[in-house]
Amino acid sequence: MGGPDEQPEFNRPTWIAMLFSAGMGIGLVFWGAAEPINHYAITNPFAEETGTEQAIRDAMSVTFFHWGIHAWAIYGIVALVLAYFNFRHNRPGLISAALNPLFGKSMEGPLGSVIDVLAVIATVIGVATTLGFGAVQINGGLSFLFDIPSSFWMQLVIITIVTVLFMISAWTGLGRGIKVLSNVNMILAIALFFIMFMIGPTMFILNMFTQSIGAYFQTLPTMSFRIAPLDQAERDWINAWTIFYWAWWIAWAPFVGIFIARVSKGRSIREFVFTVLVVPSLIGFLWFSTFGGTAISLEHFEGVDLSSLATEEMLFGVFSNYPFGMVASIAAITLISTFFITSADSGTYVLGMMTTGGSHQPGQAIKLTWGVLLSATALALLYTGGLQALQNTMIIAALPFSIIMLLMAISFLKAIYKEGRELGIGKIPKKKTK
Amino acid sequence: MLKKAKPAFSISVGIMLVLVLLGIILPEGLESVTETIQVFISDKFGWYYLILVTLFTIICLVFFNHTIRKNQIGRS
Repeated sequence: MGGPDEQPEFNRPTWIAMLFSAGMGIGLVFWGAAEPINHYAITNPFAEETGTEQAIRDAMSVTFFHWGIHAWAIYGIVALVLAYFNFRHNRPGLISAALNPLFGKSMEGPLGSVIDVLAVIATVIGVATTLGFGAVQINGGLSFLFDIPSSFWMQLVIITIVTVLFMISAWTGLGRGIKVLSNVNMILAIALFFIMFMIGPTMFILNMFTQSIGAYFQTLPTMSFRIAPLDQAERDWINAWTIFYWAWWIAWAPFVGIFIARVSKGRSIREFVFTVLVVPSLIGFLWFSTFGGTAISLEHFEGVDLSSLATEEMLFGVFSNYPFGMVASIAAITLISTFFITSADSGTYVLGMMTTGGSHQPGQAIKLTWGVLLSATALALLYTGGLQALQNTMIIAALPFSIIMLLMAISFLKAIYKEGRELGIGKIPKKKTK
Repeated sequence: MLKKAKPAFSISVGIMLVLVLLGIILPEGLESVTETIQVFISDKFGWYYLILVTLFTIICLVFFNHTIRKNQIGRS
């Protein structure tokens, strides 16, 4: 993507590191052990009995489903559409500009502003939700390790400190701040992963990974459309988990999409789709097999009670069963903090870009305003009703943006077919049946 | 090239400020309203989310094998 002979701006490992740092870092640390344990021991995804061997299999394959290609396709499609219109057609990197082929000039007027505002709001709430999760988990970790109270006021202190740090990072600009921190994140995350992989039940992890990939592919079509109209208990579970995740990824899509588009300049569509869909999904699967597999094996085979811990403390509960547990816990807290900084930093950049007509160098004052508002939103919602309030607001903000995403996809297909015709690449490209 | 803020900036900052202030002044009120809307959306639009997300996945996968790759974007 980009002009002819455009060279990629960032090398491949940095590129992938940035995808994770912007997109899922905090979520991976937060849910790594907690989601599989929830499905295995607290509420079964299919409203069946918990704590059984079947529950282990379900827990892992359902977690893979939530963090697999669907999630990355949501990001990927926004990124693909934006990158295509921005770099190929030299339109501004705005959501409204991507709808130009459908609505024409009206996208430069008030209607375009409405669309951009909806995208901005989804982004603020999506990023704020993730920051809320991050703050709650930092608090959970400190409380688990050092008996520091877990309360809104502690989270206020944590968010304030991290806000100051990410403002400094945002001040230094995209090129340096995020790049350095993303790499720090990646090194920390890989170190944490290998520690867990080595000290945890390595063979069980590898076996669960392999088995669950099979189950993932096998159940993909059913899971993709599972809405359980005839089973209220199952339906409640789907609302609480699958719909929540889909809304989370959609609320994040303008942010991560714009960010991915921005750092993907100079890559081909094929490489783009592969690196944005397949590679991150596989990395996510490995991550969940390691942390979720260890957590489940502790609870199922060793009788360790993890499921009665608060969700944000489960990861630390897992670590506490192993030597170096303290080191791993502190590394995890550090990792969430640095992910928090990179997410918030790129969040302010993207919001700045979205509200300055797509400028690739939004002004510092605008970025600062967004930085403060991101943290204020996370805090205000944590104050009203904790994580649940954040999740509720996010599901609401995601709905209008999901319609915009659908329009973007149609707009993109329209433009690319037109281009295909103009360049005369044979016939109109035939869709391959997969 | 520093561009100035567009209308989208002031409008969305305004909306977010209102939300934050509501959260501080009327925490319970905001909480119960968002809860009600959230339950409504999950119940009535669940099917729509599932279909939409799967559709995006299919579009992405189709593009992986699309003939447009011969004209790799940016290298024509």
